[in-house]
Amino acid sequence: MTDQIMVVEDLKKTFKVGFARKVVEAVRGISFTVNQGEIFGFLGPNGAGKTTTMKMLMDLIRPSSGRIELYGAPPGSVEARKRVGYLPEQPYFYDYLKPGELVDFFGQLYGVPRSERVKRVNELLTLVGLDHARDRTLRKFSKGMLQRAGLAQALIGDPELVILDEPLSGLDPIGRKELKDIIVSLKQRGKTIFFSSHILADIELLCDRMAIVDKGLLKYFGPTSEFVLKGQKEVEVIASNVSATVKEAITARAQNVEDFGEKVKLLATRDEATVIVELLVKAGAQVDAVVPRSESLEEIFVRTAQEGAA
Amino acid sequence: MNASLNRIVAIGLNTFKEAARNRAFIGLMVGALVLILASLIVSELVVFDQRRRVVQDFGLFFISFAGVVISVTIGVLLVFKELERKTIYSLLSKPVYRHEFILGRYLGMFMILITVTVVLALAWYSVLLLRDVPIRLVFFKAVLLVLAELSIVAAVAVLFSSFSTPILSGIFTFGIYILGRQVYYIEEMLLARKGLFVSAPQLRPVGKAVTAIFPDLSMFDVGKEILLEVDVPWLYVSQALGYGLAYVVLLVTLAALVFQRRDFV
Repeated sequence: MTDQIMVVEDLKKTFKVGFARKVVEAVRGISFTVNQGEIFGFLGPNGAGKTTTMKMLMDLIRPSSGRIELYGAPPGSVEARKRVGYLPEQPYFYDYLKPGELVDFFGQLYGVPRSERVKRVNELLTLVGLDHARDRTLRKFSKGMLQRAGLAQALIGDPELVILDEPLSGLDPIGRKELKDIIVSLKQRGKTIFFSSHILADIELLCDRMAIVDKGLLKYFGPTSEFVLKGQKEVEVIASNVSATVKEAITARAQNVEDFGEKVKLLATRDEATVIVELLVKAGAQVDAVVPRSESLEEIFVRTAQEGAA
Repeated sequence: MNASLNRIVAIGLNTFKEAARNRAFIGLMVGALVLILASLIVSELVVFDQRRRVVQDFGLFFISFAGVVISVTIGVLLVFKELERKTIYSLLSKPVYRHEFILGRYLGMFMILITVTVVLALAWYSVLLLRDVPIRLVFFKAVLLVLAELSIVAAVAVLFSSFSTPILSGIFTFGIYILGRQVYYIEEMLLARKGLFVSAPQLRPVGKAVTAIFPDLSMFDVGKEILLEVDVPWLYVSQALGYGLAYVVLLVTLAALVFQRRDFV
């Protein structure tokens, strides 16, 4: 497919650690592709191999075997990396620089002309909400502020692909909301965003497609909506003004019914919940809430691991 | 080529900025300046006809000494600090080749060494003038040769910094500096008809290996010529500079090759 901008094929990485040179398999054969213009989520618990994979994408770590292509070139290619912006996990920067100096320095590495750099630095510092901290050196920045500076430096080259390693960690709720808005606005401008997280809700909210890794193995790769549907075990329905007859009808279809007099709370499968809601509406009851109950990330991993073992 | 050079220069300027904003570096510079100026006081303590000699000797010695301390302390941290502080992740994920990073860091180090030698040399020349010593061309040549020597020491430090810890890198670099200062004497001993290599001929291969591998740093020390008021020909200076450049190219290339293979976990 021509719109595949990133191809990862049977990627493996082993490290030899400690005095005894014990072999640790951090990534054990991961394959996925990322398409132009999508938000791609890379999900997995801590220690799943996400950061190792992302460092291999940026040529910071060399794979033991397998293939990576960024825009049809190996990840070490300068031409490919001109089209990529990267925010590392827990960004560390030159703490003797001010945020504008930092972003300007990285702009020079992208070959952005001086006049254009000045303009972009100003725009980016405003975008990430660091206008108030322009005169402070980075050593005086909080973790959240560093994350914002990190995002600005990732965007200075006006990259087509933005790779963000755990971009939402360390941010307060407002910061998280702002960053999510920035990610969505980048997509609207035609950028491709690849970001990792260990929080399913973040991926679910933002990503078109996703890959899940655990213990260095790929557990899922495909559309986020498909995965979320698979993960929805049941739907919770809360309704008021429910007559005794209707209660009897819906109890037969639901798994767990809690009767609070006029109010009823029940759990049902997706299909049954649709029928129950129809029954309630027809009977003139008031449907207060229909809430899909998704599996937690832990439950998904347990299930996928069990499916893999079966 | 031009884009590559721009990236190397950008990394070099950032390295220089890092040192310029580092209090320890500024402290070292101030300390060296004070010591050079202090040679004026020390020269008061000796007999009159030795005063010139004291300011000439002290000045050149402190330029070289401060330069070596700065080369080793900053040089061994040059690459290591990027790894330790994890700033390398942001930098190498940019459109930058790994060898450009090493060249840029070394260029920054070279800018630092130029600043150090120029500032300290100006202080030295001021002291010489205050002691009524006429500034001769050989003083400039001497500083140029010190800069060449420091460039080699810094390149050794960068090489070790690309794969070792700062403490080990510091020990190795300083060890090579000391050994480099002895290479000339080892060569003399190898040619002599008596001495260590005659009484213990099994050590000759070691001596030969040392002189073949390690740079002869005494080549860059023209303190004796200054003292004897002998000129140092430009031919000698250019040969020494060429010799130094060859070592720098070799060492920085090795550093780049080592760095090329690393994983940044």
